[in-house]
Amino acid sequence: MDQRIIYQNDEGGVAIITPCECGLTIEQIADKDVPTGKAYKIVDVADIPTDRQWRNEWTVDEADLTDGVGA
Amino acid sequence: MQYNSIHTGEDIDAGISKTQGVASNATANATDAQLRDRETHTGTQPLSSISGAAALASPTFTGTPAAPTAAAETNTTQIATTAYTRTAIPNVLNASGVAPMFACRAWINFNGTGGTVILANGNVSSIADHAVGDYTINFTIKMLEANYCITGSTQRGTSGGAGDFGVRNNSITRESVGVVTADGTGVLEDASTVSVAIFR
Repeated sequence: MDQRIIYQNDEGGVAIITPCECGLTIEQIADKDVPTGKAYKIVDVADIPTDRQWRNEWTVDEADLTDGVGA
Repeated sequence: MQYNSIHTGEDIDAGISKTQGVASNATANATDAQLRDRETHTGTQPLSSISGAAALASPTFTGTPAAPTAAAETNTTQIATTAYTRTAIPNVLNASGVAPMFACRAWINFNGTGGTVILANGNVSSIADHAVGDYTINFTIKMLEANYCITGSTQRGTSGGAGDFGVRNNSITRESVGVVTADGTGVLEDASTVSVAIFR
């Protein structure tokens, strides 16, 4: 899949979910694998930086996480 | 004195009707035994009229049906009995001896550098990348309970010593497990190959 699911983790950083080919849609994976109550957004993989030097400092504005909430 | 009965026209018509369609002299030379012998019969008989018979096509057996046990390593359409499978399954898995076997319930091989790239997996729906060297593996079908065995390894992909693989504290659930990879000194780092298997 060429998409990723992002949500804000408990430490205020960004969690990035890479979906597997498992017979589920990315929406189904988001509902299942995003922690309960966490807002998420589905983005293109190209939107995720590849330079991970400052990976632990990445943040996301929770207001941008508008595609759903973990079930 | 004996009298023969007198047949009416209706009796005669009924008799003629019964014999219509029967070939001339069809049974003229047959003995009673031959007429009763099923092997001399022609035509077909509905299966439903035979007590206890099963169809050749897609039969549903009842009771405890049995079959000859196939020779070891048979690989045909022959029926496999329980006796055959008890030996065939360990043989196919090259599992000699009588020690029990336990199954891998989920596994994954991924590259954690430059963004997570899943190389191959079984029963994994996704990986959550939380930070450098910090991941959650989510199972497609959850485990029966959380006391499963987690085994894993890393390949650092950089020069230096061997990498570390560990399980994040309080991260083992039926639905997922958190794993961490480090540089051999306890500092988390992304590894170029992370392999994880779950046994239960």
